[in-house]
Amino acid sequence: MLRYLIIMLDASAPSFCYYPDPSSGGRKMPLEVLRKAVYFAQTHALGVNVLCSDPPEKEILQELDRINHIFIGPSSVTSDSVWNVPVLNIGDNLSVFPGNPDKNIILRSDVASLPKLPEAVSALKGKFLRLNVIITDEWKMTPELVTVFQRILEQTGRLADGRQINLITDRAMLSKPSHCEAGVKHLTVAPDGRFYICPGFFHENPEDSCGSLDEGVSVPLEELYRLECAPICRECDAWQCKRCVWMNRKRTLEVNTPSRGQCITSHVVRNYALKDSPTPYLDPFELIGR
Amino acid sequence: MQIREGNASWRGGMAKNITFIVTKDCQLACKYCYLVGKNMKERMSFETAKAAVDYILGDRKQFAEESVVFDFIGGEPFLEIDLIDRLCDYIKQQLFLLDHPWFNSYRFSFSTNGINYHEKKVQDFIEKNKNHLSIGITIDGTSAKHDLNRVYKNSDRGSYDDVVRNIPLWLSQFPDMGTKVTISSPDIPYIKESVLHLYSLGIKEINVNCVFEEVWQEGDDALFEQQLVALADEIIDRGFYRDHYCSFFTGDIGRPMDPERENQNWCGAGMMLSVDAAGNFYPCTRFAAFSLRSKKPIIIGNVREGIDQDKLRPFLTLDRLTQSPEECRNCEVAAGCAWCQGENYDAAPKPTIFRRSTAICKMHKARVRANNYYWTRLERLETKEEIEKLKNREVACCDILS
Ligand code: SF4
Ligand code: SF4
Ligand code: SF4
Repeated sequence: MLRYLIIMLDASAPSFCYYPDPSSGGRKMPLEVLRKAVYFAQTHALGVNVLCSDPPEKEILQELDRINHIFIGPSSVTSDSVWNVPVLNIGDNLSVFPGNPDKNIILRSDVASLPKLPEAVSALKGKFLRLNVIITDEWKMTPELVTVFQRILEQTGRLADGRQINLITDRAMLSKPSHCEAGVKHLTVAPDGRFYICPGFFHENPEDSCGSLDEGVSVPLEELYRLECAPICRECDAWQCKRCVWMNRKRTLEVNTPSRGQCITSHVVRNYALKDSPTPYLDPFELIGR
Repeated sequence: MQIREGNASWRGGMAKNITFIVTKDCQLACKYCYLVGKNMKERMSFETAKAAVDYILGDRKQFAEESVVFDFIGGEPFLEIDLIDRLCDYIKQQLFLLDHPWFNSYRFSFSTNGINYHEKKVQDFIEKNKNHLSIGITIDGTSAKHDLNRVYKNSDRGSYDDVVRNIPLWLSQFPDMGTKVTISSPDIPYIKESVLHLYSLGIKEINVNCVFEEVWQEGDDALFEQQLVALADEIIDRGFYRDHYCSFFTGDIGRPMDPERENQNWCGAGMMLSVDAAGNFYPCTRFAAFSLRSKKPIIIGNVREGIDQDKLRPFLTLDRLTQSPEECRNCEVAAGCAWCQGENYDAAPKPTIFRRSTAICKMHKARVRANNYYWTRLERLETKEEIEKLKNREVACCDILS
């Protein structure tokens, strides 16, 4: 069942997740489309996350004011409310980021930059309540990189200082899977008023929509986005894993099948958190693959 | 009671199957052919084929099966007999030089339309490799049935006569080989006479399947059932069941399936490997561009960079229930109801292999009814034979006593 809607106020809104940053100069959402999106959210009892690259204009803010929402994006649009979620990249100058000890922050890093993570966490000390680290190309994780990654987690864990860092603290706190569930729990509405599984799907192919604000939602083969229809993931207890269906499709061509790298990354994280019960495998494919 | 069963597949079907799509050309333009992009241009070069062999033989960890079947398909594979001959020599030589375990456990396999089977180059190849060969000639039945679909390119001339003249030679070389027959909607009225005709040509094993595509018309299932029941009567009344086999009538079909023990995928896509003239790898030939009507090919690597294991994962984790719609999960006659992963992909509303096409549904149900009829009749026959035997024993006993 849908729980929230991601509204992309402009097609250049930077990525908050695994998919890459789009190019600049993208189309902006017209006010009448936003009105329909807000109405859709109201009538379906959905929470709203708003993506944008620049602070929105007054009438856009007025329209959004009709429903509870948070902004996710660059500091310029997320600094005013404690609920808003800034998105940082590991290459940014993090020491100048003002932060707020009550805020959630997203920090994006690729595999190659992961050795900078402990330093980044130090630079952000006192500036967040919860840090969500997204390893944007985690499909590149290989068994050879595991030892290095484990060491990075150890170092980062020592710096967590009682605060939540998803890679360090999430798995131990979960009693059930906490995947992204794009296509099931949330959809994205793009500036053109069409629905997409998530912004990554929109950027990859704007023709790959699943309905529109005018015609309603229709997700073809919706069941394939559900955990029950994911043969590897449904056997897995790396519950903190985002099980990114966008990355799945990019790497394996199927939304319900993860890449090996995604599984290895998530199992290193899982085993770090559940030290007493490590899995004998790093990829649950080994349990079920033919 | 003696009942002939189908030939078991070589090495119990556990061998690695590697398919070389040596050409996309064929002398024929069969009307049911799934190869939508046939052409004369894409012929495999020796260099590409060699690179594929080098990659495969060089990675024993990935290709760890004990045996291998090298399959050559087209188009019509024997159009490329020069390439095939050179390539098979190279494979044998490399298996020997690398001290590869497959050296003692390999086969070359062909499915041919049989038209140039008699030609010298083909016959020389057969003579050279005869201990490691399996060759199937596909013939659809009577000339009327065969020529309905299997016509020459750019003309409507049927190919029956050119194929049938090679059957005796083929059977003398491969007496136990069967033939494959493919049934589409217009073929249904010819089924009985076609199977009987193939028996009359000396072919003892006939593997038949209905096409998986959405071709079936209203009433086809009833007609199909009639044909199969009539065929069952002939097979039983004329005693063919003792030494001939027809895959329509197979013991264990038409019952519900256990959700846990019987959850495997039907199709072997992903367990096999196909390579085309461009050196691209596919999980099965049906995923190459020339086989697909409406979807992009699924390329899982190439001879230069090897196989992208991530692209293979969906194929290796597919199971029956995940891809089956509700009706199939609860189906009372599910056992034996087949699917083709490539057709599933081609027919799906989105590009996925996880959606089973059920175009074949009513044909499978009709087959189940005819199969039940066949086995019920055979059982009755067996009971009667038993009764006869008992009677004879009684008579014999009475004779002794009297
Ligand atoms: S599918 Fe979910 S986890 Fe993946 S990029 Fe989209 S929103 Fe992020
Ligand atoms: S670790 Fe792999 S199998 Fe487990 S939920 Fe994540 S993607 Fe799925
Ligand atoms: S396709 Fe039809 S016959 Fe086959 S399993 Fe599904 S419901 Fe049963």
